[in-house]
Amino acid sequence: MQLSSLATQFILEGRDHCDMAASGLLNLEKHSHDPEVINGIFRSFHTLKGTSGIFPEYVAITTLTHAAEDLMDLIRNGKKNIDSGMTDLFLAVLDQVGNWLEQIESTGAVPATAQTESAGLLSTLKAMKEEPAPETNIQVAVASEASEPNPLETELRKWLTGLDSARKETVTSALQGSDAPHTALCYTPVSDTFFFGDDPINLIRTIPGVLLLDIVNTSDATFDENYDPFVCNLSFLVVAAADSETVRGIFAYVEDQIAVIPVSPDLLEQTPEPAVVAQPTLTPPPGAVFTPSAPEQEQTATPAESSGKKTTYIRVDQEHINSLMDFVGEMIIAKNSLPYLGKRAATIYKVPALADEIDAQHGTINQIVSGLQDIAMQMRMLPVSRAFERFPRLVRDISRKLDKRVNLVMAGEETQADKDVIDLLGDPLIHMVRNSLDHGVETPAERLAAGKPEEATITLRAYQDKSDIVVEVEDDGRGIDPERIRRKALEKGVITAETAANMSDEDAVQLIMAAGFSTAETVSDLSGRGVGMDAVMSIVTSLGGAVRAFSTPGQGSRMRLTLPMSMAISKILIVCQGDCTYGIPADDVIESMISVPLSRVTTVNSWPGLEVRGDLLPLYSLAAQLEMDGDNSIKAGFSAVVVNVKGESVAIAVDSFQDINDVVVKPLAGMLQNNPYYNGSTILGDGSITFILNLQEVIRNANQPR
Amino acid sequence: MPISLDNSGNSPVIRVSGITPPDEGDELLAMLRENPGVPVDLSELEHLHTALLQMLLAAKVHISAWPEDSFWKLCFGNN
Repeated sequence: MQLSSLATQFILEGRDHCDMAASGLLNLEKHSHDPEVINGIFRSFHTLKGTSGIFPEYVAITTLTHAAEDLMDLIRNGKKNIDSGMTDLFLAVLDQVGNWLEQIESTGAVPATAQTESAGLLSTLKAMKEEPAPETNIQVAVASEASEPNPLETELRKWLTGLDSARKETVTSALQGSDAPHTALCYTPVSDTFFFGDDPINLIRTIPGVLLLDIVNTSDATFDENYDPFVCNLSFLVVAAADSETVRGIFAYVEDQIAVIPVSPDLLEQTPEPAVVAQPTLTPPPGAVFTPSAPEQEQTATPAESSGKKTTYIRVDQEHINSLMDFVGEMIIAKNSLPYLGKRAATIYKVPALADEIDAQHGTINQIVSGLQDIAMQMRMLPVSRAFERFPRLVRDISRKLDKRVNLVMAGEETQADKDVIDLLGDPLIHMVRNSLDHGVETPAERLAAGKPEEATITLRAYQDKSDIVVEVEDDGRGIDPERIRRKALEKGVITAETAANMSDEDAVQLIMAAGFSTAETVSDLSGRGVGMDAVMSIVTSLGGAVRAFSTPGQGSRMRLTLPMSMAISKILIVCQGDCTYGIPADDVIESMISVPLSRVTTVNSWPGLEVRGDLLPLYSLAAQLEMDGDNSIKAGFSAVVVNVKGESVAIAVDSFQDINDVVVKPLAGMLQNNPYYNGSTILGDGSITFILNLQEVIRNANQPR
Repeated sequence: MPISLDNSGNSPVIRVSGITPPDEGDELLAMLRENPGVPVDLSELEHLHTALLQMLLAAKVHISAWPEDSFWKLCFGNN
């Protein structure tokens, strides 16, 4: 379904407004009656209504958000107090709108049953709107500033008294010729008004009997190369043959951006007041009232003023970013072929001078490609807040369902990772947070009995660790009882009695991620289905990440999820084994050694170890771990790569190794898709395909000690 | 197309017609920059979004033909 660019924009912005309003509503529950938050929610509903109104076929969205906006307006003006019932209702409205946006995206239209679907919500909104107002209201509205002088009104009065005699005559004649009231208006929309779906001139056009209209430029912005068409720099000054209430009614939703005064002949004759400090000044400076015939005004902005650099953002189709990344990847592969070409020029074609030139060109191209790669990767980076933003709502809804009290704390939301990683974080995090809510956090009564505060705390925390992003879900609940885990795992056949007896408490806790394990006494619809943490483990390890559980019984638990920050382009060390080459993530490599004598290999309890600077590190033969054909024993003069595998240093014996390369890692497909030893594949400069090793899984192979 | 460059007459003219949504802003901006001094014909205009109105005002274009609704003349100061 091909949507128009306007409809696509509406869906994108609509989702943003749904998210912002939902986040505001949840915020309001914590900090009740914050006027800024209430105004923000109101504007989101207002914008949803306004922008959906552009599309007659989306009338269901317009109707529903209009009703929500009306109720929110009463709250904003202190005529209603918001309670949890209303919050639920508003959230349900946002859910409904979100569903419709999904359907527009997939089918191009809201469903034919939309009006029926939302009838219940509409009637509840209407009923709540019409309920009598409580006696004790908290004033939160912009009206609280009513006692302060309105700079717009001051400017409006100045404009009226400064009108030339011909225009004054127009107004005076109109006043004398009719008993009807006349009104003057100053309307200065906010600079980002277009992004709220507002069209100020459309409101002006609605005013009946417009006699005078001046449109004033409120900024220094001129029509030069920096001109931004989507920043509103206008102020509208109007005299109309209409009463003030009618005019106010037209501008009800932007009442903080207007001044309205009744016009009388006396008003026009008052002496102009000296200018008061009001930013930005609305009194039209010479030439600021737009007229097409006015001569070009001299540019008066100083270089310092005009060079003020603004950061601007544009929305780009994700497909374009993906394509850019693909081309960068292809360019990296092409670039990596140059050293091979240089080698061939020297060794096969015997032209060493050409080889040198190719090498020099490789250096230059390498620099350019690195810069391009950095920018392309930066464009894909998103803050982890994108993955976190659903949790305030999720925790609120689930904790209410479970009759538990939970305070959600989020930290490190600004930590960035590749968009694909952020997208993939969502599901594992949902499982982990649901597990905390369902199994970790106790009921208020249980918490009180345990000497804890009634309200539990779940913390979502993100931070960067070298090239990984780490996300933790921590709760102060009952923790994980390792003994109970052992017993359950034994009952379910996940482990043998012997393993259970020899297993440390820390290792026992990790069993919650084993396939088919669930400790829920009653299986709920939230978690406890025995697939949740298993699914988390599976997703995360397939991406080259790791999950680790920590727990202190009675005090709480913490799940730590580690993922590479970017999966698109990686630095890898190429190692050779037999006829094959493999990639090891360069960030995991501590050091590499060549021609290692067997005298440095010590066998302890029949497992080999390599002595490195006084430490004995576990030594694994890559050939043996991958179960390659032939003699896989470690031979004299082998090469070794010392790597860090999730905090532990180990040595891997290989035949040899090559350079560190930037490569584009592609996910495995087909039969290799579920091979645990590989995280992906890549094409090297010579055109050969190499697998990227998942070292954690490689050394977990049962042929070797863990 | 609400915005088009008409080269069929003696001299070029930019036509802005029908109902112009805000997302035509980029196109109008590009057309005004590429064709400085070219007059604008609004005779077929039904509604001009504020973003586009602001742009025409800022660019100080010459309006060669007005729409039927006199409100738009008022906006451009020719009341």
